[in-house]
Amino acid sequence: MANLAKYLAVNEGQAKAWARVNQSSGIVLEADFYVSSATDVAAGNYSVELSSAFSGSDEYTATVSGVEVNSNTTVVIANYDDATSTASSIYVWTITNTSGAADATYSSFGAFGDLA
Amino acid sequence: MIDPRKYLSGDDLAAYEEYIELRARAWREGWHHWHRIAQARDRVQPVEVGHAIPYTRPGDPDGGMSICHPSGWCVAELMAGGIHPPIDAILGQRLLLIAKNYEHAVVDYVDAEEWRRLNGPIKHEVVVDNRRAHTETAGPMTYEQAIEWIVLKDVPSAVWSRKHNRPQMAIVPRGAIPKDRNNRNAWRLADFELEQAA
Repeated sequence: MANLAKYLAVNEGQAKAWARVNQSSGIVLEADFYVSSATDVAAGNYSVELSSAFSGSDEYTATVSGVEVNSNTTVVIANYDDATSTASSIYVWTITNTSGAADATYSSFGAFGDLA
Repeated sequence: MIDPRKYLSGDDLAAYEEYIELRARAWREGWHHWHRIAQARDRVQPVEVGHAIPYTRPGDPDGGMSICHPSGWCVAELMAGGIHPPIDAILGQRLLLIAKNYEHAVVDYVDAEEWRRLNGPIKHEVVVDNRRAHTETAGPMTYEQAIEWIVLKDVPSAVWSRKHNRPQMAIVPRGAIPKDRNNRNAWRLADFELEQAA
């Protein structure tokens, strides 16, 4: 019973989906969970299609990060685009201080919320 | 966060009430679609996916080309069987879509992309019936069937459900996708060696 209570207590805090994406030469899903595919939309823009949807587009959030490995000066800002994302697709932008929307070397995301 | 009950009536409302009860029970008892995937990690290893799916959205000819890259984990889970729902259960998932002007409709997943395109930015999107994703599972698939399942789910239906004057989609070896991304936004489908035209 104690285990069940502990399990229920962390449900909403668990990452329901996550991925590490190599953007250095295309979009490569290097590790992922609850993801069916990633779509290369444009330079610096990809979407992650979830195995199944969150319960609504307002029922989750995603944290995203990006890194440029071979540079000590390039700053990468990775952003989850909640205006374009749907209940089952998470859109990510990576932006650098040198090129605007541009591919990072790697980016990662974790999504938290209530699944459908 | 909105209460979808305000927008639903009749059969849609009844289905929603049944669905949220079933979803809560699936989650509590550990047979939600998410649990099936989590439990499969002990017995499934990811496969190396040798193909990618470049496509162009028919309603957005100037929007450039997108390329779908299937997950090796998802392909492996589909090949193992008993984890993911049949594709028609996904395509038949019911969504309540509410536009910024509060126009709204309840549509199947397969029709949602077109509704979003025609009705502008979406303010709210809520899944109002996903029962079959929890109660039904697809049997083991071949690699080709698994790729097809992902195409039907993740590539917009306007790309594959209608005939077009020119191919809108192809399934190509991953090696056909250029590594040099300097001109990424200028890529067009015709630039690729087409293995299988839609």
